[in-house]
Amino acid sequence: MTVESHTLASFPGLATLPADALASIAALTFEERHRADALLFNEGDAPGDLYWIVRGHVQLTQRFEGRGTTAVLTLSDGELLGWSALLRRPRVASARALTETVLLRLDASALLELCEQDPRVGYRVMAIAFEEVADRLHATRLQLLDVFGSR
Amino acid sequence: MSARFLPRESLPALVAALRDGRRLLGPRVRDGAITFGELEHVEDLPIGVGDEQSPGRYRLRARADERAFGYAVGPTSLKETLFPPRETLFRAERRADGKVGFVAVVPKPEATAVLGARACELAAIGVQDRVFVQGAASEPRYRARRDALQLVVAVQCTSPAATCFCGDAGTGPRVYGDAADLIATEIDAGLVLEARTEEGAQLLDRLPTRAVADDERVEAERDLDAATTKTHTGRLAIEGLPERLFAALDHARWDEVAARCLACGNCTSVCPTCFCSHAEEAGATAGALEGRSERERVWESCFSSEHGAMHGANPRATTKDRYRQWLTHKLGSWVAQLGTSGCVGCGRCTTWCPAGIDLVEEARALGDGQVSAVALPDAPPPCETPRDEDLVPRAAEVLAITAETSDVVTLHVRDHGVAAEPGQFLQLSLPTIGEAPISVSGVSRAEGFVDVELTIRGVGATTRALTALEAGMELGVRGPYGRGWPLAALEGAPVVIVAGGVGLAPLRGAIRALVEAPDRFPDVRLFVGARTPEDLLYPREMITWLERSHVKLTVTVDHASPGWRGHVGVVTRLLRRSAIPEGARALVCGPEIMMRFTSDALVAAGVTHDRQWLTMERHMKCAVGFCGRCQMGPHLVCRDGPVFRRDELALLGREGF
Ligand SMILES: Cc1cc2nc3c(=O)[nH]c(=O)nc-3n(C[C@H](O)[C@H](O)[C@H](O)COP(=O)(O)OP(=O)(O)OC[C@H]3O[C@@H](n4cnc5c(N)ncnc54)[C@H](O)[C@@H]3O)c2cc1C
Ligand code: SF4
Ligand code: SF4
Repeated sequence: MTVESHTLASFPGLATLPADALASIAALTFEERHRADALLFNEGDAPGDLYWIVRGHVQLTQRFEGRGTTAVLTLSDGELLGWSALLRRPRVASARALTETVLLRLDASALLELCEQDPRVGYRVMAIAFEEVADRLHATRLQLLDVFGSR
Repeated sequence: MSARFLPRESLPALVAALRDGRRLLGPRVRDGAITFGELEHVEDLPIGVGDEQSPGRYRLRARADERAFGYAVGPTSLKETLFPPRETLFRAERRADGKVGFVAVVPKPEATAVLGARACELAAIGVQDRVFVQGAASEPRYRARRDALQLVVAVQCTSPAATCFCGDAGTGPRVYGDAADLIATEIDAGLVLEARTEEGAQLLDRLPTRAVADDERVEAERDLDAATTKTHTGRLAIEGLPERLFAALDHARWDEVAARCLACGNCTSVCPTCFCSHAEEAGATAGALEGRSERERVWESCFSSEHGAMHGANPRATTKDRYRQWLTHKLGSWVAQLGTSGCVGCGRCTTWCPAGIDLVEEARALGDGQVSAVALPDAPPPCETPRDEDLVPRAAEVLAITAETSDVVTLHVRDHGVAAEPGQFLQLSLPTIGEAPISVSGVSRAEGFVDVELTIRGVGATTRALTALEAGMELGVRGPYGRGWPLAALEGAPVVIVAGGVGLAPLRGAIRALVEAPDRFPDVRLFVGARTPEDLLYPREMITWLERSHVKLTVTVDHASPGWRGHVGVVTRLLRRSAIPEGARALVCGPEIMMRFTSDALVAAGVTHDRQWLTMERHMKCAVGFCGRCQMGPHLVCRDGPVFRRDELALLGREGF
């Protein structure tokens, strides 16, 4: 079942969209519940959907040959999950729910089509995804700096 | 008091009267320069000797007359006398059983008189007094030497060098007030003398003086007027200079001057007001834990690479950073720290710079623009009742040790000093090894003693030796020092605490206070970041914090280990996703870069700079403002911090401070 527009409006980046635009996103958005430990997607999976975390913790892990599987990031309430879906690329990491998790799942192909048709939605969605990616890039740099290690 | 005249042939009487039971210091020719030293006879004075000075150049020359004070200041000053280049602070001993002992070394200097001090010299002593005896702490060694300076005869300068600018600096060439007991002006026939104190008047009475003739008075005034005109070069406007220099922090000229500067430190060593010092353990057998050593204080220059260096970081890594530090401190932040400019206009730094860098020229060029956006604080007024601070540790016993991580331990120490407030720090020392500032991570008071917790990461010589201590052994402690967390300012407001790495240690005292008082602190949110799960401090205690309903705790690690089910990612991401309550106040401690990004994330979450407090780390030797090492722009971190409100830290995150 798809969600109501007001559910989407509670996500900061979407609140400013006009009602009709919100409604068209809501029409391709589904709510999902996952129990703790559920695997949401796997590194290397074919391009899938985009998620928004309503509640819960999701761990991203990556395989590093010779070093095993490593947790690289934890995501939680209000954060975007699986942005590679917007690029129609295979998953770059695996995602597993750490706790019971409520997600909004956005049908990525339909969303991309909507973005093409309605530039208001297109701009908003890309801006939100861009901000998320920029934040993660920045945070990754800090992680790599090993700020607590050197001192 | 009316002036008297001492004919030249009676100068020996002046020398004799000054030497009466005292050591007499005055100008002499030594190694091709006029320097301060002990005078026995009038003949020791530089009679008929003058000098020529220009940037990078000093030369003695013969004068056409017999004047004894016809020169401008040379490379030494009374700084060497009051604050010697090397001196012992205390003797320390550590026995095989790990017990320690410390004995203060305070000099008993002989009574001293000075002949020939210049106005700039006296002004410089006034500046050093602000550092050593007029702050909140008073240094007994300096004070003893200062008190021994019983009688000072100043000779007003009528022979300024081309490098002099005491007129611009407002310190000379005339001597104002009672900075000297007797003021002299030299003319060809002798000295025009004027007493400024009771002691000066008594001295004057004992000298074979006569009334001053009118032409003698005219000659003296004429020479003084000429010197006054010459030293008012008009090249440097002192008024407002601090603000203008702090507005010029990105000026291209810093690079130009840094390309010429050799970072030799000559300027700081000849400057009569520079007070930075290093301290080290002398006489220790290398590598030996037991044994004796003496803690020695040695002059240090802000041009040295060690001056600001901390373990794993040097805030002033380049010559540009260091030149900028020297100039902005001397002519700028000195005012904010000590209420006076650090420059008395003597020109020594310019004369003795091998690269011929002219301080006035640099300051003029750099300080001719806008006024700064960096707020310079007001200096605390001179302290009427400073506490005595002899820098000597007291022995304290290690009761127990908790291993926290692979390189961090918590020492539980029984101390007999004052209990620290959360956020304050102690100076911990071990004989033969060294001393290091360490925050107090917990305190419990009892009758007659204080049990202190100190969480230490072993990174260098001192901290490694501290982390290797065993129960029953002793260490030296002094303090507590610094300004702690502003708990009173947090009352009633939601409190956000962000800790990174060992940065949790200085916060633990504050966290405990908040955890224990839900009525005063109803909403406490802790965000803790660590490198790996194994590097997390106090995991057991954290669980007890979580049991309190007014406390929320979120932990994240940069690098997860297998099986870690907590958060992974930098601590700033936690802030981004958590709703920070309105009106929240924040305390932050961790590596500087983490604090900067955390501060930005807090602002984004609505916590403005005036509601954030951070604790800064800078190189420290004394912890009370004597050693000058913990400079951070306008602040001395030991005295003004280590906890600062964020809006006081305009330079946070700027390269080179
Ligand atoms: C206010 C304050 C509180 C601190 N609290 C803690 C704490 O709770 N736990 C902890 O593990 N560390 C703390 N530090 C850092 C600790 O002081 C340094 O790690 C320590 O001085 C390094 O000394 P070392 O001899 O082991 O290393 P070396 O690198 O051999 O240092 C030699 C000397 O340089 C100076 N120095 C070097 N690094 C620093 C530094 N980071 N800060 C100040 N001076 C330095 C000291 O005078 C030291 O004796 C604090 C620093 C400050 C300024
Ligand atoms: S900065 Fe230079 S001119 Fe000023 S007091 Fe120091 S040595 Fe003299
Ligand atoms: S300014 Fe001159 S005296 Fe000072 S450190 Fe640089 S080269 Fe040496």
